[in-house]
Amino acid sequence: MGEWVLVIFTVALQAAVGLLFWTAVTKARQKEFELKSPVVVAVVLTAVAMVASLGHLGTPLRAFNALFNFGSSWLSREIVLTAAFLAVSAGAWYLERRGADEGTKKASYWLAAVVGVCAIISMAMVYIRTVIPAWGTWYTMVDFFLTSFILGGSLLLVLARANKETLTAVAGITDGIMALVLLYAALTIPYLAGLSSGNGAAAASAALLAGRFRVLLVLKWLLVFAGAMLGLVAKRDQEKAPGYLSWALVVLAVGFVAGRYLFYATGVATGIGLM
Amino acid sequence: MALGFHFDMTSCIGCKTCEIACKDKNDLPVGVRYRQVHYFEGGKFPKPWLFYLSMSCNHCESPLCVKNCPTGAMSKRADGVVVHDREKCIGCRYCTWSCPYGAPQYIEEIGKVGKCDLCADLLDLGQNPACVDACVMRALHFVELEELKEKYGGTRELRVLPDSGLTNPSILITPKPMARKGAL
Repeated sequence: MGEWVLVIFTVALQAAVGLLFWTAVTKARQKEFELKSPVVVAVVLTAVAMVASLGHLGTPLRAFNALFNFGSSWLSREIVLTAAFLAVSAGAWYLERRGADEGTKKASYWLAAVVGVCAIISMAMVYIRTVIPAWGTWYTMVDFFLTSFILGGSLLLVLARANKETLTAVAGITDGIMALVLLYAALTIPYLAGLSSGNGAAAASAALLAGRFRVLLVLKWLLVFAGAMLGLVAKRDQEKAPGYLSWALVVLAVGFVAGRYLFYATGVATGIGLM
Repeated sequence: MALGFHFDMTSCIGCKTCEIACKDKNDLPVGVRYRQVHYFEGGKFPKPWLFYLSMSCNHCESPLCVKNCPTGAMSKRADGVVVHDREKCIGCRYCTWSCPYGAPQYIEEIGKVGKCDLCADLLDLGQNPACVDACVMRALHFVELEELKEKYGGTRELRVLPDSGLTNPSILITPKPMARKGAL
């Protein structure tokens, strides 16, 4: 399984988009929310993701060729939109540094969030439009967006934890994360059921999840639930909240990385003798 | 006019000469096979069964590899041949996730993908693809698709093949009874 660079690329980019999405929402709701670090972290994460993605290519020096088929290839669209997200996020960072007026800054955050959402849609479509049935379902879209919102929310909580005022402004995200984790779990059940009752390649993926990779699958879900629980604990114990929130992010990140590893490791292609 | 292969399963003895001719013609490294002979067996006495299936790129009418390739390295010529431009390829391997026949193959040594191009250089000289001329049983044929249908009949649906509606492969197969869809 040589897809570690894609694990890093997809999880890092999704976390960055989720972070800016939650930041845009918080800035829209709280006028005094002045935290500048989220946009910096989002730009760094996206840059790391893009550099990591080059590691997937056999001929990275020609990576620019990947922009040529924007008209029909979701992979082309994904790359263009990821680069656009990096550019727009960097623009939002520049406006923060320059001290632009609030309206302009808010608009730049929303623009980044919208471009980021488009990047995630195209990223999910890359996998949906393959001959790998475990990827070719609505669940890939759900998985990518929930990873984005849950990890991004957790990241924002960590970045806001140092200051009591900013932490109060984003505290509600902990409830949102738990709600999203429950939704994620609820949607995973029909997906796994569909996979195991599917055709040869789908059933082969289900067999891998239920067999060789079952420990990792269970571990992923334990970590995701534990991370969401730590967020709720942090909300109740204000004094120790910064520590709990940091641990929540670490636990969630490990859980989602394990989940994305599973995604690649258990994707079985429809093929000759395996329909 | 679409070009394609006809494979006569009833004649094939599984000698893999087609595979070797293809590897030789394309100078492929170990592990990379543009044409592959698949082997299926089952049943038990007194009704055991066995069949071979020699497959390469099927130069589909709706090739997902062409649609998905981010660089445009994969393209379909006017005569229906799906060709691959190695200069444009960046080795992202997305085509290998897009083909239900496993036709595009990643070549580690060059960091790019390669695939059967129906020996386009030989075609342009009015010759047959290497695999067709090498087949000792004359189980492989190559002609214009409409002519194929008239001459050989055959099917695109086998119980070991993905649904042909996925990519509309330009291939016809004369199957053994046990290879037919719904045979088991």
